[in-house]
This record gives sequence, structure tokens and C-alpha cells, in this order.
Amino acid sequence: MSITSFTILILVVYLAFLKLIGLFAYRHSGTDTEDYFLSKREVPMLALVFTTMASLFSTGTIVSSPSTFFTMGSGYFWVFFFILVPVIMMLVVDKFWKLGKVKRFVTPAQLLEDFYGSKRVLTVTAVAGLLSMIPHAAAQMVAVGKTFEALTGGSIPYSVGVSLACLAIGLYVYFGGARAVIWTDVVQGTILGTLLLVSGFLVVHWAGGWDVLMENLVARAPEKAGFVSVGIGYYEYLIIALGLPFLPYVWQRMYMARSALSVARIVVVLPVIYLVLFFVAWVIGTAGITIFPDGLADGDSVLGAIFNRHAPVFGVFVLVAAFAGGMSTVDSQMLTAGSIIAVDLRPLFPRKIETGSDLQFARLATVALLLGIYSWSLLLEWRSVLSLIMLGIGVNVIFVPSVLGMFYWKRSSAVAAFWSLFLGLCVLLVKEFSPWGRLFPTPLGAASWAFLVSLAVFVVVSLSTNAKGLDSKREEYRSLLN
Amino acid sequence: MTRLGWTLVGVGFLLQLLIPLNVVDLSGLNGWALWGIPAPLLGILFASVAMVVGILFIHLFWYKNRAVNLDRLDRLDRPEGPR
Repeated sequence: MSITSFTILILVVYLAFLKLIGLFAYRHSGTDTEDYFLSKREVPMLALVFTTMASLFSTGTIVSSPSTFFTMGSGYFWVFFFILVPVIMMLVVDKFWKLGKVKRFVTPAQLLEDFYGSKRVLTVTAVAGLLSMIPHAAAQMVAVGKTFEALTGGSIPYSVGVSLACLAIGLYVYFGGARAVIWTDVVQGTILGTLLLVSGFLVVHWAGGWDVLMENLVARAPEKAGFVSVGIGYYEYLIIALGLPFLPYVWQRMYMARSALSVARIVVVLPVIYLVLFFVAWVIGTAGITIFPDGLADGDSVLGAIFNRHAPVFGVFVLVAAFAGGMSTVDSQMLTAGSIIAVDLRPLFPRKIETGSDLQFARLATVALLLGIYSWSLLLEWRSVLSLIMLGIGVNVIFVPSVLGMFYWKRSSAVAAFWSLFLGLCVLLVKEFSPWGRLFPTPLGAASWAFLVSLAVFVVVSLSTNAKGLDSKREEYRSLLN
Repeated sequence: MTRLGWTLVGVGFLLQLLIPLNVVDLSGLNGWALWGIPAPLLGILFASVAMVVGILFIHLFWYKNRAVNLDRLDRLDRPEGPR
């Protein structure tokens, strides 16, 4: 049996196994919105921690991070800024949980709409949430496609890898539901973490041991062993990190929790897992410097290339890990996308296409969204996985002023929230995708400009408008949360 | 202890900001020669560990109690009463 056939066989077995778990969970799913999207808000602590971790750690961790450490070395150490994320989470996540439980929120936009009392805020939050998930989901497919190609030495081209990933995820999404997503996330999170750790040990062994690894890092790539000239771009990721707790599918997990203690556990477990996984990713990337002294044509596939050279048969497990990372993130994203479409955006669709139940409508719309992401992914082979992931996370920085303002600033107003979200989103899209982006000069990137504009607009408009209309809502939230 | 947690998070974060600018004297770390990791990278890793330990302290001595209290209030608020 050839390596390519073996790879496909193991992958099919893995996907069938996951499908069985998913179908078993699906059979126990109800058909009401709260059960389908939030598993009745009764997700136990361990499952909640696993599903949140599996959703947060994607192909970015297993495919892109080792590769970025390989190509950039110390220049990628900004990734450790993200250890600050739990501190930001402490400010909001227990509030999301409590308010979600009392007011039966299903989507993030419903919370902002309830506080600010504005349909416009709901719509812009829902649209921004959907948009943030598109590049992030595309990144997962791109990473799977690249890993396929690297592991099989090109026998399975990028487009076939992406198509397989899309098919697997599509089946997932259609027969999904929160229960299926959560229980498969538990399995996939375990697989992703274990395989990354095992890969770390194997790669050190193949590189000739730890001492050789460090000696070669300093001798062959001294610029990757220290900080020569760090620009403002390095610190921009600190702003992007602010957006992570506001990822719609992370936010929605707070609504799913059975207890506030489960939510608090996520805050403390996240930095520990983060530090361990990204340390291992650095080790793998550094080993790449020893194993491939002349570099690689595609820097996004170092782990696949290492396995292809030293143990091609076991390379399939890297692919399984990439699939686990990608699918556990995309399934969560598509579930949340479905809830945003069904709950927040459905009133915007013409009556004529409002056929079938809310859930059926959400499933079809989500599959259509997935097909759009698939088509886009086919064109993205040249693009770095990491840049797509950061773009997706970066969109969420526009939520920071409106959400923190809601809980911590008495002057925050509905008009300010809308314009802050709307203009922040516009600036991000213009800077990233249009020639007018030159109006917002580099070195600051799209996320930083979006954050600065949304913050400035929020503060200025809040100070110049009357916020007394929200006093009763503020009082209601205070009594609920204290 | 909560204050110690915040201090660790603050110091770790400051180090993460300052080490890449080469304004922190890390020559002491060379003496450690911990697994041969270059001093600037080791400095960032130590700063990250300090933040993780700080978050753990904050969780154990403040945030967890807050969550337990929220759960207690939630049980009292249930229509069927506390359980």
C-alpha cells in the first residue's frame, strides 16, 4: 500500500469515527434553538473547557505556528502576548454567562441589542461577527490543503485537500448541533494536543537532540535567536489579542456553560495550555532550522515536511492533527454562524425565502456560507495561514469599546455603540481590501486602525450624546450581576 | 495573594513589552544556561510563566470565589428554589 493510500485510509477511518460520535450526539439533540445551538446551557465543566480550547487552538497552532517560528524565529514571539487574553476575559466572561442565562441570549449581538436597545447595534454586531469567522475558517481549509500537499509530496494537490476538508466540515455542519460539536471537540482537542506534544519530542530526536537544536539556532540563524530591530508591527498583535475573548464562538460558549465556575476554569486553564502548546510549536520550528538549513519553498508546511523526510508513514498523524485543529474550530464557527443567521439576521431576509423551520434555514444558509468560504480558499494557496487567522481575530477588536463601555462606563450610549462598531468595521474592510486603505498608513495594520477608530468614535460620541436613556438598563444589569 | 498575582501578571507583561526592545539587561540569564535557550527568548518565556502563575493566583484567591458566589446566587434565583 502506498503512503498516499495509507494516508487517505487513516483519514477516512478518523473522519468516520468522528462522524459516529457526532451522529450519536445529534440523535440526542432537540429541535429548539436553545438546545441546538447551546446544548440547553448545561455543558459540564470539563466538556466546556475542552470545546473552548479545541475551538481556540486551530491549524494555526499545529501547522502555522511551527512554520512561523521556523521562518521568523524571535519575530514571532509576539504570540506570547496572547497569554494576557485570560485577564481581559476576567472582565467580561462571567457577565456573559449570567446575562445569557437570565435573559436567554443565544448570540453575542442579542446582549448588545438588549443593553443598548438598538436594532442597528444588533445588525452591525451580527454582520461583524459573521465576517470575522470567514477568514478564520478559510485559514483552516488552506492549512489542511497545504499539509496534504506537503505530506504527500504533491501527490494530493492543495485543491483536493481543501475539497476534502470542506466536504468533511459540510457534513458536520449539516448534521451538527452544539452537542455534536462539543463532544467531537473533546476528542479532537485531545488528539491535537497529544499529537503536537509527541511531534515535539520526535522532532527534537530527529534534529539530533536538544543541544544540537540550540547550537544550530544560534550559529545558523542568530537573527532568530534574539531581537535585532523590532518595529511597531510586533506590538500590533497586542491589539489583535484584545479581540480574542470577543470571537463570537468563544462568547457563545460562555452562554453554554452550566455554571460560572466552569467559565472561570477556562480563564485559568487557557494560559497554561497556551504556553505549553506554543512552546512546543517553537521547538518544532527551531528544529526545522537544523533539518532544513536551506529553508523551504512553502514556509507554512514545516511539520509536514519534517515528517515527510523522517517518517512519511506517520505523517498521516500530522494530517489528522491538522484536521482535528481545523475542524474543531470551523465546526464551532459554523454553528455560531448558523445561530447568527437564524436568530439575528433572519428578519432581514425576504419573506419568500423564509421557508421551513429556523433550524433548517440556518443549516442551509450555513452550508451556503461554507461553500463561499471553500471557493475563496481555493484562491488562497499563496496566502499565509497566520495572516488569515489574525485578520479573523482582528475584526473582533471593534467590540472592545462597546462591550467594556456597557459594563464599566456610565457615559456609554447606543448611538456611540452603533457608530463605533460600524465605522470600526468599515475602516478594517477598507484598509484590508481596498485601494483606499492607503488613507490609513502603515506600519499600523487594519486591526489597529479599526480599534483606534472604534475607540475614538465610542468615546467622542458617548461624551457628546445623552446616555441617561440607558440608566435603567445599567441599574438592571448591576442588580443582576452583583 | 491576589495582589501578588496581579504583580506577577504586570511584571511579566512589562517584560514581554520591553525585552524585544533590548532595554532589559538579560546577562544574568546567560549564567542560567537553561537548556541553552538564548537569553532574550528565555526572558520572554520566563515572563510568560510569571503571567501564567499570576493568573493562577488571581483565579485561586479572587476570581474563583466570585464565580462560586455567582453560582450560589443563581441556585437561589431558580424558580424551583435552591438545590
